[in-house]
Amino acid sequence: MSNPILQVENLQICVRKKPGVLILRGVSFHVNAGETLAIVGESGCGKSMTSLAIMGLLPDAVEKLSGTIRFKGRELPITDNRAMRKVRAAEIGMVFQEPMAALDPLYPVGKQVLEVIEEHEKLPRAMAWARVIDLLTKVDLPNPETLAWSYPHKLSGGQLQRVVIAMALACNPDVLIADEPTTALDVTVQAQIMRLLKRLQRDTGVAIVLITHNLGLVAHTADRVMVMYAGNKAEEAPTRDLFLNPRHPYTRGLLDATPNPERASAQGGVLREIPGTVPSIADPMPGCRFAPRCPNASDLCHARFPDPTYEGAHGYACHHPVTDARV
Amino acid sequence: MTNPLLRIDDLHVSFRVGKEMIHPVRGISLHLNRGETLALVGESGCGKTTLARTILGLQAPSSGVIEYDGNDIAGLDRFQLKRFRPHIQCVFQDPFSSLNPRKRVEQLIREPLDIHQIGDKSTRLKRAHQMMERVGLPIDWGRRFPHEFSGGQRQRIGIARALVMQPDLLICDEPVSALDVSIQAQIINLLWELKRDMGLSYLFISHDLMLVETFADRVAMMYKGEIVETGPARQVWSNPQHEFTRRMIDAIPVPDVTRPTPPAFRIDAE
Repeated sequence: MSNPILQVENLQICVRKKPGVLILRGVSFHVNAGETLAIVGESGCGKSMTSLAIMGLLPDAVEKLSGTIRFKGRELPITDNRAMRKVRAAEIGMVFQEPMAALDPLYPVGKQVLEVIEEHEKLPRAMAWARVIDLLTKVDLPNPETLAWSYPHKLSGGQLQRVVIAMALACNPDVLIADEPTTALDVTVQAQIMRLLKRLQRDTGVAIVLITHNLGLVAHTADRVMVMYAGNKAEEAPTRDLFLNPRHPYTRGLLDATPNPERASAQGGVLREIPGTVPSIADPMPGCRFAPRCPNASDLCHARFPDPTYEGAHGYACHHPVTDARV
Repeated sequence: MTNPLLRIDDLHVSFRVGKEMIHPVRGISLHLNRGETLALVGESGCGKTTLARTILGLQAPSSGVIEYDGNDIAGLDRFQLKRFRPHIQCVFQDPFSSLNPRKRVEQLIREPLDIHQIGDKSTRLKRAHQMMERVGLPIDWGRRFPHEFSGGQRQRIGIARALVMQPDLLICDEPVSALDVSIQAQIINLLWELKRDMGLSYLFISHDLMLVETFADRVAMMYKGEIVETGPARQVWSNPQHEFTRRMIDAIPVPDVTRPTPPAFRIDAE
């Protein structure tokens, strides 16, 4: 299946007025209609910056150096805030990590969903309100008519995230970006929210970009995965392929470092760690940024950044890819 | 059963929040053997942090027994408590808010020794430096401030600060949940080595079932202020007796594509 609805090409983002300090170092990827793409990586790898760039919400401290973002074939005017207001929610919706921070504590939650609808569509108030209630029903909130008048502090974390999802889907976007949507929630609530997202996807055909560091979530909810490291795309592959046959040593390290009791006994009861830390974004290293931590690294890795290699849908940027499959 | 290091019997804790009385710990009994890692697992608001605070003497129990090495510690006055505190230390969840940003790292690690007036100044500094080395921090970073360190390194500072008192029991309250996976593995391995080398016992508070099974000897499942189930992790997971344990296990996404998707994630099951 290849029907890209969102295409990001060679996106470079740097600290404002410091083109040498790159946060995204030329990232390219696409999202197909109706699929779930997971973007995985650790803090500072650029996964959140990628999503903010797509939404045109880059913080003032950074700027786009180069690259294009295309939605349904046309380029998104990500630096033009007024133009982007028409895109947000209507075409690309977003769910944030902290539902409490995404909602205004001074307005009833229903009003906040209403605001999204009225921003994009001219509808009589009564019809718009009926849609709010319908949306709150669709995200499985109990007693939506009453709950719509509740203030955020009266709702639990899981309920708030459902409201945020209702807001994100209020205008039937084609793409939903979910940036760590369940990180602040308990595991049982996390499962409910992920199931809700999958069901809404089945019913509306919305494509989901799931940004997360939780590999367990990825294994059971994503169609494809992109792994990022220090501002670069390290690897991308269909989910099953990535877990069973990772080619980039970083992906392999990440999978092996994740607690998994089934594999633990073979590792002697402790976790396999990736030594060292992520390099500073100001560090002008010419080669692969994972090289200092990599078991396979050679002089070539320190000298030159590897070009991406593709084997079908499976791509990776590495001079010395992992060859043995995980068992 | 041999004499446990920590024994808690029918512990209740309640306190006032505004006009309401809340009752976060409702009759908990558990024991922790010497050299053991006991994981306390539960969802937010189940009372696990309150239980930890009560064991540390930061919160007074309303009734019940807390025995440490056979001695009752629930009823200590503040002088006795101060003398007792070196035995149980704590590593906190957030390595950013738990370190005073205005103190240098070697000062932070030395501080517990200063408070308890152990040794002279140069001995304390030497002990702080030894601890830094033990947790994998270069000694010449001792003059730096916490903001100059990454999350994982700060958690090492927190561990050094807790262990400088040479406690027997370390309470770890979600020590790695704020860290990235690769760094989490480094810290867990460090805790594992320290336990082996220093003969420590851990009360390990977590909500990560996969991590707990890898790291802990036994788990205690906590739900709404009560311990609903205890036992070795593998045994509890494979044959959960309580509804809460079952619900939690069904919701864990195992990072393995060859395993079936857990029931709580499946939309065809609705």
